[in-house]
Amino acid sequence: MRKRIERVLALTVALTLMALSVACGQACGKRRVVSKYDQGYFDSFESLVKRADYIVRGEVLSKYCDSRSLRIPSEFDEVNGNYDAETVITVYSIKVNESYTSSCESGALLDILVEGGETDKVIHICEEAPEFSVGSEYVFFLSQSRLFKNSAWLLNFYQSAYIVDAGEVRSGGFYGFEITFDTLESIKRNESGNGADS
Amino acid sequence: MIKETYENDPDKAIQFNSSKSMTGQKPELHIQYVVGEYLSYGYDTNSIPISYANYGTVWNRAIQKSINSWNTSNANVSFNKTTSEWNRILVLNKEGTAYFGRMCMEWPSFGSKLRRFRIELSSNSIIGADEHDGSFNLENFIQSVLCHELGHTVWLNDNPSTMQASIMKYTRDRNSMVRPAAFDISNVSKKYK
Repeated sequence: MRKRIERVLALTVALTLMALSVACGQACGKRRVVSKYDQGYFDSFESLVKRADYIVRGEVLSKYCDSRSLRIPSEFDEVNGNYDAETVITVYSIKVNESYTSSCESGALLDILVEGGETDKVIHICEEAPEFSVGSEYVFFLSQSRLFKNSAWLLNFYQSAYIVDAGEVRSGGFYGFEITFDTLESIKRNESGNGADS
Repeated sequence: MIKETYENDPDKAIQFNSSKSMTGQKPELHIQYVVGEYLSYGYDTNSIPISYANYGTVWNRAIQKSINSWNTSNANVSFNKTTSEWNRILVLNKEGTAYFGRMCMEWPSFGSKLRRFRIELSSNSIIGADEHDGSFNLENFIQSVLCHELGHTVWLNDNPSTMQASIMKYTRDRNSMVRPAAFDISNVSKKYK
């Protein structure tokens, strides 16, 4: 009889432990979020250049993921209530090897922010968001961040980043433009020319 | 080396992203595209609850028109207003890569059957579009963006490879294309026969 009671108790404890472990596994599991975007499209290279605050060639020094509130105060805040616009982003720290706009200097360090990434709580997949390799060099067309110092965003996911490989600049996205270093240098010349005119 | 990965399964996409290593040997620009007319997920029934607050006359009229354009089409889907915390349409002012709208969903609690989503309309990007487009029409623009996002909830993918007009194309004129095209309606109706 005692053995039978012991068996029942052991079974109960085992089942309880199993249930607890499953519950804990679910609670500890990361939230997984998938996002689809409707982004703007630049119908010409000139319009991309015109829209960019920074146009730089830079090497990716490091990358990490972070969760940040990207909310900018607006008239809709009250309507949205306590909705928090915290988003997982990947921060690519780059060293600017060449700046084609006067708004940024060569040699500067810049953080490029891209939506999506993985933190200890959330895996946020932004389909179509580009990923960059540490140690590689790219040309970026960027808009300046108003929330974070020395930081910038890609103008869109598929026309704003170009890879520098074997002395050439190549597009990695559909709708990407054919550009060369001469094209980029001409941006710099045009900018300084415009400056002289004004 | 430029890599383009074509994935239709968000689960695989997660694994791919998590396991990718940075070799540093060859420069890479990795952009993940989901190709095809359909996503690998969509709302599981053709009656879809959706909620939104009062964002003022222009925004709410555009939101209502977008919903009506799907509801009155032959797509066989119906977006119905509720007060649920989920399936919300939000008008937000957020910083980020310039996007007009986005659809976020929790994954993968429900397999390919989407039941919880959130649509964000980026007020600063939408209003800012005026700066570089002379033919800007705010109400039409909002309507076009929301129609596109609602399309995602009913399986439609971005940029279908068709010559036909589609509300899912990034290249559409958002000032004039304000409702789902015949191509979109046909594709959705096939999912909700």
